[in-house]
This record gives sequence, C-alpha cells and structure tokens, in this order.
Amino acid sequence: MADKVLIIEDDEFLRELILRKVESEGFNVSIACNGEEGLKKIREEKPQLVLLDLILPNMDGFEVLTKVKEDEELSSIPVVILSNLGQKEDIEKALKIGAADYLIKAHFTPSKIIEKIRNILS
Amino acid sequence: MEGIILINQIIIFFLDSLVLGLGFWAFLKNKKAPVNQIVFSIAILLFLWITFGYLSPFAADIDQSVLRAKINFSIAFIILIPLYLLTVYFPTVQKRSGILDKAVFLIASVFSLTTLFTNYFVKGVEMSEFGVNIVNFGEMHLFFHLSLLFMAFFVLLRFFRKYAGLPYKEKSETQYVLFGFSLFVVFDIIFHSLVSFMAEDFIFYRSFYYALGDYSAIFFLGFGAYMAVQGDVQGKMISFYRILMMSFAILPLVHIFLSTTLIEYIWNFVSFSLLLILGYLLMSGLIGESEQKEELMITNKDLEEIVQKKTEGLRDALGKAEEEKDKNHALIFNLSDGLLFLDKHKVVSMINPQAEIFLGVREFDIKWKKFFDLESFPTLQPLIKIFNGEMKPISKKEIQIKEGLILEATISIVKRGGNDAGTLIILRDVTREKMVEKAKTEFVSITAHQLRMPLSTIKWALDMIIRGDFGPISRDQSDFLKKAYVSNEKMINLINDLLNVTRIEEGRYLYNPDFGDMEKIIRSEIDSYRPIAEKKGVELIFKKEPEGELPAVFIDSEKIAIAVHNLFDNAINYTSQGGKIEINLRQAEGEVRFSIKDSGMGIPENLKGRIFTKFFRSQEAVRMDAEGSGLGLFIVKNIIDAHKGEIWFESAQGKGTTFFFSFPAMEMT
Repeated sequence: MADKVLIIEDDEFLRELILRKVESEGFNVSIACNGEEGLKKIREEKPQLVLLDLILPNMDGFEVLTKVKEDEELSSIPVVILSNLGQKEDIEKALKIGAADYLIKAHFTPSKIIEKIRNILS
Repeated sequence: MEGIILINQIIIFFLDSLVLGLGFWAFLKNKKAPVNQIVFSIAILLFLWITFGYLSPFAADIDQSVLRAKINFSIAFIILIPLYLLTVYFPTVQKRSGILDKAVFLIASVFSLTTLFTNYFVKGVEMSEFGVNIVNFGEMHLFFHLSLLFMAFFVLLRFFRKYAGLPYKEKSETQYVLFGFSLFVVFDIIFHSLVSFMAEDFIFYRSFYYALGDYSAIFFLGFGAYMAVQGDVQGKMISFYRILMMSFAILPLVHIFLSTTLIEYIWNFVSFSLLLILGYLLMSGLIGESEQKEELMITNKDLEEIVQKKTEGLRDALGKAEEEKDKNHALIFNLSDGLLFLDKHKVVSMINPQAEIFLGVREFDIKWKKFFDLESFPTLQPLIKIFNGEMKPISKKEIQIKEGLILEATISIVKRGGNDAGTLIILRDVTREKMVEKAKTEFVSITAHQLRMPLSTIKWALDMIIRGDFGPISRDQSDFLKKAYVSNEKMINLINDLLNVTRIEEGRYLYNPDFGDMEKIIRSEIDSYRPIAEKKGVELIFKKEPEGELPAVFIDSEKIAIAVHNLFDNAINYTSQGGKIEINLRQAEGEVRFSIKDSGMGIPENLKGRIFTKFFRSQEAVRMDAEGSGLGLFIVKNIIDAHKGEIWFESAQGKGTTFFFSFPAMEMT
C-alpha cells in the first residue's frame, strides 16, 4: 500500500497544487485546512509523513508539531515543515522541537519537495 | 686766623641753607602731613639754633652776645618738642598720651625759658680771637646738660621701641630717622661732652668741636627730611650727604695743617680719620641701602603693576567665566536631552532636570553617590548595565528604561589635560522614533511575508506546468513560462533582500558565529553560478592562499554565504559577455581576506561614496540589470561590520571593479 502523506495547509491553491503533485507521485494523500483539524487527522489516520505549514488558523504549526512530538504514539511520524517563514530562528525552533526537515516554500519547487519526501520515507 | 673765620662762615652759611632747604623741601612736598610739618619745624628751629650760635660772637656788645648764646641753648630744649612729636607721628600715628605730651611740653618749655631768662645754665661768654666765643656755664649747667642729654635719650629710646615693633616696610623707612638721630646724639656726646671737656686748654678747638656737636643735628634733619619726602629723590639725597660729609671733613683737614705740636697733629689726624671713617660708613650704608631700596621699590612697583594687571585680567576672566558658567548652566538645565556627569571617581556630580524626569529620580537621591551603587533604582539599572562595570565610550546605545520609554545613551569620557575628568552620559528620548521605526519595520516584514506567499504559489504552479504535471505543453509555451519563472525568482530574491534589510534594522539580524569553512562557502557559490557564467561566456577563476586545506574559522556561515552570494551576483550581473571574474581568498594571521574582481563597467567616481547605502543603484546598473534591489551591498556591509571587518572596493570605469572584505577570524586549531 502506498505511503500516506498528510498535508496541513491553509492556502487553498497551494494545497491543491501540492495535493496534485504528491498524488501524481503515487502517494496516498489526506489534507487538513488548519492546525486543529491537522492534529485530529494525524491521530486518526497515523500518516507516514506530515507536511506542515506553520502559519495556520486555530492552532499554529509549532503547536501541532509540539503536540505530535509529545505524543508517544505519534512522535515517530516524520513532520516536514513547509512554510514561508524563512528566518533562522524559526528554522532552528522547528528543528529543535523535532521537525524532520524544514522547507521554505519560496525556495523549493513541488518536484524538490517530492525528492525530500522520498528521501525521508526511504 | 682770618681763613678759619672764613671757613667757619662758609660752613655756617652752607649749613643754614641746607637746614632751611631740607625743611622747606619736606614741607613743600606735602604741607598737610604732620610728619612733614614736624620736620619743617625742626628745620626752622635748627636754623635758628645754628644762626644764633654763630651770631653770638659777632654781637655788637657782650650783653647781646650772651643773649644770642642763651637763645641758642634755649632752642636746644625747644627742639626736643618736635622731636618728641616725631616719635608720636612717625612712622605710624600712635595714640597720644596726654600726660606725656604735657610733661614734655612743660619740661622743655621750663628749661628753655629758664635758660633764656636766668644765668643758671648760660652765664656769659668770652670772646676769643678766632671769631668764636667760649660759653661760661652757670652753677647749674651740669643739671641742664644732663637734662638735655636725658631728654634726648628719652626721645631716642622711644624711637627704638617703636622701631622694634614695626613691620618690615615701615622699619626700612624709620631706620633713616633713627640712624640720623643716633648720629646726631653720638656726635653731640663726642663733641659737646667728651671732647669739649677734654680739650679745655685748646679754646679754639674746643669751640670748634663744640659747634661740630651741635651741627651734627643736620644728620638727623637730613634723614628726617628724606624720610618725610620719601622715595623719589633718593639719588639727590645721596649727593647731598656727600657734599655734607665733605664739608665736615674740611674742618679737621684744615686743622691738621694748622697744627703746631705733635699732640695737635695726632689729635687732628685722629679726628679727621674718625670723621672720614664715620662718613664712609654712613655714605656706603646709605648708598647701599638706597640702591637696594630703589631696586626693591622698582621691583615692588613692577610687581604691583603686574599683580594689578593680573588681578584685573583675572577679574575679567572670572567675570567671563562666571557669565559663561551661567550660560552653560542654563543651557544644561534647559536641555531637552538628559545629562549626567560622573566625576573620575564615578560619583554622580551633576544631573539635569530632564535626566531626572527620564530616570524618575531626584537630584538629591543620587547626587554625590557612586554610580554603580545606584542599582536600587530600577530605572537606573538598564543604564548601569550597559557600562558593564567599566567606563568606556558608548555611542547611541538604546536602553529601555520602562514601558513606553526608550532612551538612547551616549557615553563619552571627558578628558581634561590628558587626564580623565569624568564621564558624560547623554540621554535622548527616542521612544517615538523607535516606535515609528518598529511599526515601519513590522509593516515591511509582514508585507514581505504576505508577498512571499503568492510568489511561492506562482513558483509552484509554474514549475508544475513546465514539468508537464498538468499535461504536455508546447515548446513555445514552456519557454515563456520559464521566463515567467525566472522573473518570479527575481521577485522572491528581492523579497528576501527586503526581509534581510528589515531584520538588520530591527536589530534581529544577529551575528551568530560558529566554525565554518570559507572555501566551502565560496566553492558552493561558484558552483551555483557556473551555469550562468558559462551561458554568458564569463570565466570564473578561484585562487586561494595558502595552498592546501584551510582550517575552519569562527564566522557566521549563513551570513557570510549571503555576503559572498551578493558579491557574486553583482559581479556576474555587471560583467558583460566574455568577461572574467577572479575570486581570491587569503586566510592567514588570524585574518580572512576575500576579493572578487570583475571586468565589468566599473563604478563612476561620483557615486563611489554611496555604494554601500540602502536602495542605491547607479543609472548604469539600472540600465544593465533592471531587477537589482539596491540592497545587496547594504546587506554585505552590515554582515562584514558584524564580523568587525572592513569592506572596500577599487574601481575604474570601464575596466572593472574589485570588492574586498576582510575581518579578523579565529582559526580552529
């Protein structure tokens, strides 16, 4: 069975783009539009990888990441941050909490994101 | 013997003139001064005394002659009155004793009148063949003589006593009178008492010596007059005394030649020698004294003038200083900046009202207290903290005193004559500026983030279309979309630059050093630019020094990479087809030195000063590369500054530009 990737992203168009790309690469994709929904889906669906935006309504990405990493059941799920925040402090903060990688949206193309996902899952 | 009479007459005439001259000289110099009046009266009395003494032998009959002799002796007593007064008024006025005054007046008058109207003192005269007469004394002459002597000593004693208690300056004035008076008394004793009694046989000489004793009063008068007139005629006085001494010397000299026996010779010779010695001593003492005094006077006068001038100068300067001080005071106290002054012992010695308001303290709370002991004031803590325990100049350091109050502190060490005089702390309220700046920075930051979002979306969408994720597209479509993609990339870079600049201004662009590899950073940049360089036909040359593997250095790798990247970007963008870019890295002696030389258009001379300023772009640059942000070099400079390094360039228009930067760097060992 194909690996399940959860995309937590509030921007509709971006979500659609990344969804199509990841799907077209043969992954099983699930989506969430905000932090709360995302966390819920992580718990329910236990995806193999999470693509997490940081600036999100209801609960921001850092909080979601923290909760995932605090949960023993979930902490092994790799979370890749996919955000527009590109400052060193943010990157360091996310990596410290336990993010598997940090990708700045503006610096990565969808195809490169797929490369990263494959690297982490293999 | 006519010659002797003539000499005698000449001397008397000379003495009379001298006495009157001295008296009037003193009187005319200052008619109102008591001392001058006294000296004048002494002169008149002396004149009368000498004249009557002299006229006695030339009287028409013996009675007249006796009367003149009596007048002569009675005046001797009267003279004691002004002499006594002189001791009262000279040199400083003394409180007069009524009893003593009356006693002196009474005794002198009684003796004088008794001498004049009775025969107790002067009984008669005997004419001699030499034109002088011999006084025959009455039965009480010893009493009279002794009284005269006693009173003279009494006056002399008063002088001495007063003299002893005087300050130096007045002492030097008084000693003339004292000296003259002493001479007078000594001569009087020698010639009146001792010689005249000893030489009883020599009637002629006795008369003469007797007269000499009287005339020695001239010493006293001379000195007195001199003293009364004071100072400005010293030179003339010395001449006077010279002549006087010479005239006195003539008499014994003549006597030597008139001597008939060996005893006379010896006697006359001894008296002549004595006079010469005394005269010499008197003159040399007087001249020396007067010269010294003249010098002293001149020195004193000069000194006084200098002191006066200096005093005036000082007064002016003090006045000006006072005025200046007032001005400065007003200035400091009305200044809208806060001022604090710490003296060299770090004690607060001045605080102006504005600083009191800023820091929420009152002057008396902190004045004269050690600055570093003031940590109990919460508002002073941030200020004390920036010192870090030592006094050093600090420029425009922002400190948050409390919520809503941000001050900019500038600390300067005040030097005076090469020594530390203290520390001046200037506090400026920058709260509003900071708030505006913060708002602006936040605005730019948020805007930049918001801009990045859609740019990312465009980037992703274009990338997916170009890669055929949404189905195949034609070559033409692909080419155009690729151009759109590149434009979008430039936009993203611009936003990145903007964000970096905002962070520099926010002060969040922190220097975050760790050990990093300079060569690796440069090589990675070269690799990423190689495709573009090849496309443009630009040759990339990298040289490093020393050869071999370079040790890692303590740098903020991320920032240095940005700096190198921006310099590469410029070099590539402004170098035209077929150009050459030379990159040099030198890492030695604790210093990293990087240079990148392009063969581009160069920087125009008039723009060189503005190269590192924000948003600056030359016309040429705009023409060649429309997308440059004008932020690249500003960011580079800030990065190099954070590394405590320097950045500079050499450029010739049309030939190319070389950018250099260097900074001290610790190598990993």
